[in-house]
Amino acid sequence: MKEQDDRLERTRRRAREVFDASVESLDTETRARLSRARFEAVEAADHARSFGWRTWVPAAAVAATVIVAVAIWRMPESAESPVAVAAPGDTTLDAVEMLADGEALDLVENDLAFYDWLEVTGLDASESAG
Amino acid sequence: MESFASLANDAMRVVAADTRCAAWEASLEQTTDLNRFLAGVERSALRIAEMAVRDRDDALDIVQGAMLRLARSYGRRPSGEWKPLFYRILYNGIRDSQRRRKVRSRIFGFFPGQRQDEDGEVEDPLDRVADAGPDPSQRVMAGEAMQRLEKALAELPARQQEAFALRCLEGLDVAETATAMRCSEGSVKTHYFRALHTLRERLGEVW
Repeated sequence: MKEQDDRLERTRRRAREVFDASVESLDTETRARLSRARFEAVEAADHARSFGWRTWVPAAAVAATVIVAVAIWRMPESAESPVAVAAPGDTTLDAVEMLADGEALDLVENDLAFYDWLEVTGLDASESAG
Repeated sequence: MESFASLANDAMRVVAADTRCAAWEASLEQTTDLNRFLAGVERSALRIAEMAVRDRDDALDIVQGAMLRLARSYGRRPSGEWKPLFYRILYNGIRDSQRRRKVRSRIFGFFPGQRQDEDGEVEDPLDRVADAGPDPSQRVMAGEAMQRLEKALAELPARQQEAFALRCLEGLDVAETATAMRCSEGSVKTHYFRALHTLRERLGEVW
């Protein structure tokens, strides 16, 4: 068993020696090509390190745009809820409803008598208050 | 109050400059480490690739691709992780090249006038193009022993070749070899032992 181990160890050592010798015998042109390839790789690593964060900028911009688009798309749905839960007789909401109602607005614009009445009742109210 | 604000501003500038300087130094150190690592493995990686694909230009392409891939994808990883990652990439490149060669051989096999080697396999016409590898004098220099080793290695199953090249020729430990080969340490030991045993039998007492 020990003899077999020794033989295997000799084979391993010899293979390593032969391989190392072949590595050392590489011609200068090949070595130069390897060096060039290495410099390119190191430069690429520098470039990736320096500009790596910039690759995230377009992705972040797209993500932000999508978020904003979704938020805008969902907005009408969420805007309905305060109206739905508002108490009846809420004057602010009544005014908003009136403004939103185009028919009522037309009626107000065309009825000059309404303005006269409003002026008179406004004056009466201020006189009685005074 | 103004002088205090000015002092605070100056202090912040100094801290920012120090931070930039430290980051630059760290980057420079990593670049130096990467260059040193690649310089240490490039030649043996080339010889291993050359033994596997039997073509120097293809082997150079594979090594160059592995260097670039390591630098771009794993350049920021701790340098201790580079070795197994580099060899994993290298062997992926070798396998891709061998696959392409097989496909090319099959495609050319459909054309008339193709040659067959002694094993009955269709010969790749590109093999007949003048060999760009080491010339005969270099082969003599590399020695007969290396040719025998190459031949014996080429006859081993692919995983045994890989285990032997990484463990014995590149000097990776069992854990690193397992990472590079994407298998368990037990598999590495088995492949390596079988490869060594077969090589011993084939190379005999010549060594």
